[in-house]
Amino acid sequence: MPLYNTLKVQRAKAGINQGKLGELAGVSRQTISSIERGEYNPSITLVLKLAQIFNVTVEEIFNYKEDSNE
Amino acid sequence: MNKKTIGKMILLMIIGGIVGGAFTLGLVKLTDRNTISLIGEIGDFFVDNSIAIYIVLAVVLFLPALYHFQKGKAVLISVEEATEEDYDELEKKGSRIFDNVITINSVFMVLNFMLIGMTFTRNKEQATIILALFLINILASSILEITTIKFIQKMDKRLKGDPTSLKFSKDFLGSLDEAEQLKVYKVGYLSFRFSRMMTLALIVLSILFNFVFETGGLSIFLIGIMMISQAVSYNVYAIKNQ
Repeated sequence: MPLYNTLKVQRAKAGINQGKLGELAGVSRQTISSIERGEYNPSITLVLKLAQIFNVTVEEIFNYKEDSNE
Repeated sequence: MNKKTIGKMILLMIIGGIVGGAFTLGLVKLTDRNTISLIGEIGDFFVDNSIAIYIVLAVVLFLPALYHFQKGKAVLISVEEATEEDYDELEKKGSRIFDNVITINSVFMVLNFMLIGMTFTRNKEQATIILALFLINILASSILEITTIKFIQKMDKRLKGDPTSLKFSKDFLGSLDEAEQLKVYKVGYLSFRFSRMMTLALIVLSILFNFVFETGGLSIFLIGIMMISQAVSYNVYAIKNQ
């Protein structure tokens, strides 16, 4: 998946764990973990919610890069 | 439809015909070897030993399910004290164990229903004991299922729905987040596709068995109804979700 994210970094900056972030975003801890590992691409609603929680722009958390071999 | 597709379809039909024909011939040959009596003997074995089979089912399926439930409980409780690195692995392990509990327990329940359906009316002398064992097994199985769901809900407070209610599936699904719902839909679709293939195979098998062993048309009728309900319900949900 060519969607990269800095969620883990943002979370570390804010000093919150996956469980707390999941609680704030209204999703499970596993979903946060899946997003961080790039296994799940969140919906636009969830992306906006996460940006709002960290008070940053969406691009600061998520960026789309075409894979070089595609 | 192009010529290539039509050709492929005809080829598949011919292969299906040959396989079906060969299978039927094989079955006919088996009937020559008094296989019908063997099938009858297998049926009688279930009737004669139904009490023992109920007990064996409980030992082989229910007790392991109960053991796995306790094991899964211990794993999920240990998750609370785990570090973030171990969290994922432990949680996956816990949910895999609980998936196994639910599956083994469902198999146990279905086999109990199959057994009472096959044996109850044919074993009149032991009917009361058979019924009692059946009820005990079903009650134990239901309690384990409800307890498992309630424990999972206790560990994850977001998950809603009363497992004893008819609205449970709807409420439970509604309480899942987007990633979990997507997983349920994916698994549900794959399972639907598999069950379609299974029912198709079963109806063919029932037809062949009816041709060769004269097993009657009831199984063909019931599997047919199942296939129709699958096709119609899929279409109804597709229209509802347009």
